[in-house]
Amino acid sequence: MKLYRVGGGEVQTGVVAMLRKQWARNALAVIAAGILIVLAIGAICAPLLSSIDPQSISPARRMRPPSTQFWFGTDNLGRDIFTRVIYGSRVSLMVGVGVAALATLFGTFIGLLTGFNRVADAILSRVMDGLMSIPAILIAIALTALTRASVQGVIIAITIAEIPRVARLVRGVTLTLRDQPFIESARSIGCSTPQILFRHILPNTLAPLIVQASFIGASAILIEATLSFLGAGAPTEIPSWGNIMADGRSLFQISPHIIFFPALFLAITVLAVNIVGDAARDALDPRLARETK
Amino acid sequence: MLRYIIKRIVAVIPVVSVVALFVFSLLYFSPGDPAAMLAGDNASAEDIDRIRESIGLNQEFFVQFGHWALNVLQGDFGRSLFSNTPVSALILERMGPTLALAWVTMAIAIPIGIPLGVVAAWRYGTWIDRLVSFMAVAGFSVPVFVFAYCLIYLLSIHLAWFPVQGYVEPSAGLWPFLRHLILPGVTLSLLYVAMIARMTRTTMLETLKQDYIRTARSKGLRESRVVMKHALRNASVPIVTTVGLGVALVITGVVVTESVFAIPGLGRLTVDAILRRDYPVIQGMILVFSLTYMLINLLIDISYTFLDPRIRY
Repeated sequence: MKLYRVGGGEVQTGVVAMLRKQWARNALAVIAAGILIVLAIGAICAPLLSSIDPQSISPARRMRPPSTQFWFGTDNLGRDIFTRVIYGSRVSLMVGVGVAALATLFGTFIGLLTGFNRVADAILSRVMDGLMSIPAILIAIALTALTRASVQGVIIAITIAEIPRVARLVRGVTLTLRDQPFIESARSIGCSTPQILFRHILPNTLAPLIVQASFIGASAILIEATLSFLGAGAPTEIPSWGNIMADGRSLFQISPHIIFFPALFLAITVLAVNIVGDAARDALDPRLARETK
Repeated sequence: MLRYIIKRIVAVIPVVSVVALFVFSLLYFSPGDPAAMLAGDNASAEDIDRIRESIGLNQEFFVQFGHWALNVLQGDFGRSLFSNTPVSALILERMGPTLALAWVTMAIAIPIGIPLGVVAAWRYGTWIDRLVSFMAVAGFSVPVFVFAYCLIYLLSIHLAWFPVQGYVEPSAGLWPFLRHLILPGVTLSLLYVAMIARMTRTTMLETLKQDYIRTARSKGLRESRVVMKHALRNASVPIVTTVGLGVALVITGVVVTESVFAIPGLGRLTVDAILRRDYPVIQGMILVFSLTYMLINLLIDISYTFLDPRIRY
């Protein structure tokens, strides 16, 4: 597989080597990536990190402030907030990764199709424009209101809201590549349209797609938390960061720690994803790389 | 010019149709039977069927959509399932606080965002630039409601400078009215400032590299004049676009901000409607928000001719 820059010419080989070089310069991105890795390990090993059941209720220890026993304190039902926040990272990461993957998959497919086929373009691009003109959070809210609330439902709802962004990006790249000489030569030696789409055009969309996927992941995590916070997201008993904060909302003036810790995790996670995405963009976009060096 | 405006409006029609179709499908595929709901608890199956027929619910999807779209075009969004008030009346009633909040937000965000971006680009690569860039990413990352609670905790509860929540009509006096809107406005500005600063920085970086900037400098113009007049004016088109696109962010933010600060505006109306599954209100709100967004984009496109004389339609 060879990567071609939009203006023609081969891109430096070894994307990984290039990323590593860039990250050596960009300490902030390395820290952010480190935080994400720790978070992911924590989410996978949640049962090992805390022996307490995130759902276990104990009226005797309601609304305790943070202490050595309960690191992040307890909520109004006496549930351990540290445990719930750790389990909550499972939901957030699942939503972030799930939406990024699904939106990229479907968006790429629609983008390739609309970039190459005029009929499909006429119909699907109007649909994408229409969806783009509705704020993502409203689409997500409306769709979760339709379906019964579940984590999968939330993932699907946010995915539908995010697909147009990917489709538009891939369509743009496809349109600029379609008339390039290398596509013409591929066609002249008898490549079929699917071959051209998947073997020659798709690889060239990868770099901007990786960057876009990271931003979609970040935005999905935010939207999920917002949905839960508003009471329109995952079922309230599921310990997602948004749900923990929604529980702490009415008690905010008495025990702000219930909101504080999930909020901190949420903000740091999204910030880390965005910083890594920014670094990936700087590393993968040859135009930007030339400007900064 | 007029031809361009007409062309742009015509181009909006298919997009509006898609939004309308999406919004109508919401109600069509929503769980629950509106006929049974209207008929009440003691209705027989025949009663429900009769009601279903009388309001046209047994017709084809597209026939129903046609009826609904015709009503919407006449400003009839149906009635709230919850309060039985016409949706259009509800929307008009709740519009004031949201518009006030939007103005306050813009009044805060634009004078902060643009200078931040200009300074960051002008001092490219310095600590100021890095700080602004980091703040812009952070602004995108902190959820609106988290920022809201930080502000409330610090400025309302601890320092007691602002009320914790609530909304006061402008008739109660200008200061009480503004006092209630400042914190929500600042909250909403966070995202908006981040977006404007980021875009201003990027465009200004491009512009400052142009030959005419070098010319302006070499003929001895003051730096402030080079940056503010020669660079910023030429960078204004993408910046104005961002300010307009930011409206989508403000809409998103309004939904959250109004529920945190208990402001009885359109955002609050939307959230309440969703929690009560009040579909006609949800439909009306999505339509209103999307149309606002499209209208603003249309106005921005038209404003280009005034900002940049090189653009002619």
